[in-house]
Amino acid sequence: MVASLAIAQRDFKGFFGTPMGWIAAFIIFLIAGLLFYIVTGNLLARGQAVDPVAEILGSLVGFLNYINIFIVPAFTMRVMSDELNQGTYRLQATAPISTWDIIFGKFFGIMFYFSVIGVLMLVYPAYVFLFSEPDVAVLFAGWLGMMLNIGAIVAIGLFISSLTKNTVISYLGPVFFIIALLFSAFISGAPEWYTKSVNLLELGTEFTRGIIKTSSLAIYVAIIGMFLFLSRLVLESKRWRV
Amino acid sequence: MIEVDGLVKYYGDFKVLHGLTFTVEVGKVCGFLGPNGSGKSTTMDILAGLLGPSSGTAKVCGFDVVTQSKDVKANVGYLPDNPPLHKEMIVEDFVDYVGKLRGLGSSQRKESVNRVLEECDVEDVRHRVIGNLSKGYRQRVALCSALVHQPKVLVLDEPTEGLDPNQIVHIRNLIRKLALERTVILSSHILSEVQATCEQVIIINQGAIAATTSLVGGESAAKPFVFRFSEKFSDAKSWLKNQSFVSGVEELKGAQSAVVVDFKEDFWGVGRDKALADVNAQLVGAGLPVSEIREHQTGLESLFFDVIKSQASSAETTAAAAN
Repeated sequence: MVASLAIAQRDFKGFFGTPMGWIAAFIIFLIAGLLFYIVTGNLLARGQAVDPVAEILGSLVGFLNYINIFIVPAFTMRVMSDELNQGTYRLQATAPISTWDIIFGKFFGIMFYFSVIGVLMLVYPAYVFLFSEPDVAVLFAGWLGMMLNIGAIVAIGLFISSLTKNTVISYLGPVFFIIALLFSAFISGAPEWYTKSVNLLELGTEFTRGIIKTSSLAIYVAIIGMFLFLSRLVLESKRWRV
Repeated sequence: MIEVDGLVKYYGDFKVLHGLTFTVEVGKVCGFLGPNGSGKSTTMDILAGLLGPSSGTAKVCGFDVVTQSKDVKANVGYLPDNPPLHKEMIVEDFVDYVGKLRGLGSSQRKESVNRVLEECDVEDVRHRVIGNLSKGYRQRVALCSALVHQPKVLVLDEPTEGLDPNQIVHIRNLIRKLALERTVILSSHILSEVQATCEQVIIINQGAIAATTSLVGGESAAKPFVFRFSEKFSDAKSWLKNQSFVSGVEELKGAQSAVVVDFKEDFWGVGRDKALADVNAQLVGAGLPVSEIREHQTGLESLFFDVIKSQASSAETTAAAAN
């Protein structure tokens, strides 16, 4: 656990030691800012809304869930493939810690980064408080949905990154994998449980309406757990590569 | 301290290690000498608990690298050939981070970091970013990270690779200093490297041990010496041949105006230094300009070159077979 925290802390600081962390934050805030401006503009022009926060959050998070598919893999690439490639993974592999410690460290390092960004981004919905009394529960649910969505992308990204030292593949891999997953939901004849579980975007937007369904929560937790477990399997097998 | 028995490693169908068996005793510096691609790094990785062997066992400090890999990792400090460094970090923070990874408490870590920074002579750069340091400094910072948890065994994979001569001397001295309290195993493909630092040498070739020798214990002094002369070489040779205390004189192969001289046993009776000084004085007295006297290291050198040669010839045969 101490080791996981050490890894998470280092990775978090590391994101700001390279331009990547700043650029990603810049892109996210730029897009969120523009979206907020457009959405509130539309809202004011219309002059009425049932729940302004839900509407703003819905558009904001809904769009960011798309954008995150392209942003998050850059982080998983950095903490996994890049470390395997540069040999710094050996620092962790030669320490007397378990592979879970390493995986959790990397996972929470990235999650911490996006949590900070997510918290800072609450400034937009908070702005709405000046004009109305929005539902805080909706705000929380929307935020949770976004974080879970990011968590799922991180887990998938970590797994694909653990397979290769090639940073290009480890960036594009998760992007295409998730897009393929989204499209696979539209295959006719696919069972309903499948189409419901793989459409991360659909799952994410549910939360922005203020609904936290146990089933959606469970699907996210299952996706995260499964891909973290697979990453662990891959890293463990590196010891036995033949 | 390190016991390796019948170690075999396959990468696919390619057999990298062919049943290595050796032991390194506590407090020894063992050199792992072999040409590139002979399986040195694979062996080092196995000893550090990074790789599992296909068969055979390896024990470090009594712990098995497969079944007790955590204990092995806790006792081993490993410096891979490509030093693992987070280049955007500050030296001090980096070593502290490695200490944290290895589970040291905060007060213990502070003390350990200061100790290793001093031990590896990197105190002057402790506040600098690793990416901006020279290769020699980086190597020493990596060494710091391998030492921070006070390992009993130090595994170094080509520690002087790519350094300039000054830095090489520095690292060598450092290794000797570190070896006073630890067991060290280091790999190299450079003969002089191993000669300069190690007490025990294992020559490895194509995944098998070609020879194991000890570099100490050769103090019996009955070794041949090389004498080099700046001029009057033939005079010098015949003068040496005529001396009663000389048992044999041979020209040194591949060198000009140098001879290998074997001395009789009683010549060394007065002590090694005194005997050499005496013969030197006599040579100068006879008007023969000696420019160099050194020990002729036959064993290791000839062994190593045999190994290299056999590898070259086997490569030729495989190439011929392929054609």
